[in-house]
Amino acid sequence: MFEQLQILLVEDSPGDARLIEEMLKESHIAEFKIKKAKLKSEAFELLKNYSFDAILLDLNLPDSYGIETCTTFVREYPQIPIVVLTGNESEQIGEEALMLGAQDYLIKGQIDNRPLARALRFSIERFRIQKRLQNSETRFRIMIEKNDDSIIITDKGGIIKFVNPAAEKLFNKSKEKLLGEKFEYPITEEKPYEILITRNHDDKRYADMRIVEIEWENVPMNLLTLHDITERKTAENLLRESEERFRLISENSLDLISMVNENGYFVYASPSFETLLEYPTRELYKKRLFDLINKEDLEKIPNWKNKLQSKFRIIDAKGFWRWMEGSSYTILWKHQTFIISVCRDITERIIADNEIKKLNAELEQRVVQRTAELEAANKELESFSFSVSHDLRAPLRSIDGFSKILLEDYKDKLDSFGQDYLNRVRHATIRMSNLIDDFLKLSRITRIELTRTNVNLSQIALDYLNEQRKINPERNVKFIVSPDIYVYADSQLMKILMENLLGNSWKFTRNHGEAVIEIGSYENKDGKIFFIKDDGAGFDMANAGKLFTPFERLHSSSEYEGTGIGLATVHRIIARHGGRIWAEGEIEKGAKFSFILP
Amino acid sequence: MFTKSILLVEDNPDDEALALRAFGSSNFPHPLRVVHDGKEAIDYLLCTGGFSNRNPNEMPALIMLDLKLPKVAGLKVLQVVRTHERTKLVPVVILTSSKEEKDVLNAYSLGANSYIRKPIRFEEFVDTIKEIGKYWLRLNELPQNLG
Repeated sequence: MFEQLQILLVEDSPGDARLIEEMLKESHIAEFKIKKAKLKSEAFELLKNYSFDAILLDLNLPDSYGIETCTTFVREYPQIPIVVLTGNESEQIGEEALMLGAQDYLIKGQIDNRPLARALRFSIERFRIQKRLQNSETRFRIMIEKNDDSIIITDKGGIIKFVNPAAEKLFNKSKEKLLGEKFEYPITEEKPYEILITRNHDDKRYADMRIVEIEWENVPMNLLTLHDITERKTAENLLRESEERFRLISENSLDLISMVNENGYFVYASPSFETLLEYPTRELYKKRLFDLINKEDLEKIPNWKNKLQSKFRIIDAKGFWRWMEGSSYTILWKHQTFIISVCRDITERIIADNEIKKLNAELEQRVVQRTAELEAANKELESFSFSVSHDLRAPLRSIDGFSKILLEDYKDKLDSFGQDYLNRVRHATIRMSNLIDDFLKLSRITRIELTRTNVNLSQIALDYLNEQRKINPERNVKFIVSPDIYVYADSQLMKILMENLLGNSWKFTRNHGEAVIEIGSYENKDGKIFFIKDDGAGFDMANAGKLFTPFERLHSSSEYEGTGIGLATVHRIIARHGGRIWAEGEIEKGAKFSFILP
Repeated sequence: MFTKSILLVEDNPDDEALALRAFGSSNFPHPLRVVHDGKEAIDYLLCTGGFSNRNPNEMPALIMLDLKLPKVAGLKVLQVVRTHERTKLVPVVILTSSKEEKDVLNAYSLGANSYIRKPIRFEEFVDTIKEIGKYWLRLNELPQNLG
């Protein structure tokens, strides 16, 4: 069975066309199916609608002439082999057509049926082989040129004979520059190895190089394949550095850092386990973390898998329990579950805490004891003051009562001296009674429980002074009271304090025709200072130290009455509030009492 | 007609003497009965012990009670007086030397009608007795069937 070949015969001369057709039909080397065209346009029309294995082309057509016809067809249909038919005269044109891409040429008049068919057949074959070669060459060229790996061929002396674009890129040198140069790295045919290409002082590339010995154009050569690994290498370096950094952190940490698998076995333990707990690291990897933790403490830890903060004891290599505080959490790594825990030795702190707790407990115990003692003392004092008020007063009443009865019933039997003496007895009795009362007041101030509120001193002062004014309307005393002076203190005691101080001012100004009593406050670096000032009898600063001592009096009773308890009471009230009181004075110029409360 | 008495509970003989004198000068028509300790006071009021023969219908119009008493304390006497049906409405004036806040509070809590501190000055003492008598025996109205 012959191969069937579709032939387009482009020939304007019907005779020639018929002749050629006849010749081909008689051929025994293939079955030629022929379509004919008289014009170029006709041929192109056929080429559009049919496929052909070859074109037999007469160059001189009515619509195209000479070598131009060949050029047009080769350009338009490069995939179809063309055999050119020329006239007798022009073997030269035939040669020209070959140069332009025609497969062969035949000279009309010299054509014989056998060579014609053979020429066609061979043209077709040759064209096919050429195409295949061309395709294969293109494929390989693409493989080489588009390859990311650099491909270099050197001769045995290392002189570069071939480079692909990747190699140009890798060495950052043009092909022209590289070719003929000596490859500067050792070429050995052993294992692939890594080379460092320094393109610039800060532009370095790493490449894995493989070398294969080949024969190239009949000469033994080296085929070098270089794979750029710079990116991988950089990532590796970064990773190594990062790893190194984390290792340094972990290994130099004083905390115990560990990673255990799901069963609790160590897969990593920081060197602190060795330095702190004295477990050799190697030995540790045979142990379970959980086995080192105090069982009781372990039970209290609800869930290791959650991030949690907990305190627990860990046993060290010597068998001592050490207190730890740490956190742990679960991670998934390489499809396995691990628990990472970081904990810190807080043994010293716990010991210190316990010591503090113990001391606190002791202190509390001591406070309780002292409070009880104080309460007992207070009770004693209370019953003492009760006795004082009851038992000391009763005899006084008798003394006064019977003195009075004597004065009434035996008046005629007593001379004026006797009566005077009895009156003195009675006077002393009343004084004694006042002393007892003041003494009790003073002791009550010591015992009373403080209840602090905001107390308006101005109001207390005004109330008291207005009261005094009602009692002694004849007196001419001017009050200067700053409005709304507040203290945070016990209101009951503040009232006693103000009444004592203002009572003194009232009392010690009574021998002055005109007087001023002033109550005010001001701020200084220590805080808020409150003062009560008068321009009365005053006192000698030399005696200022005695002012606040109970029963000390700077004035005689005949001049100014009093028991000497008032300022002692004032002092005690200030002291109970944790404050401070002081006095300034000058004889017959006045006195100023100042106090400060915390 | 029976005149109701005043009961003075006082252990101090001096105070008793002074009280008697004060009463003497006050011209009350009421006789003054004096008992000297808490037990005696209770016996008198409940007609027990040494007073078992006393007519239980004759209740004092006023009790003047000292707090610091031998045998049974004044506050205890007050408590007994207020618990017994016969005596619970009798006015009780505490007449004592103490003015401890605690005593005042306790006395009122237990139902005292007044709390008076014996003044030291005799004139004041006499005035005080007079005032007490005047108030409780003349001015103040009490239920008719008291006692």
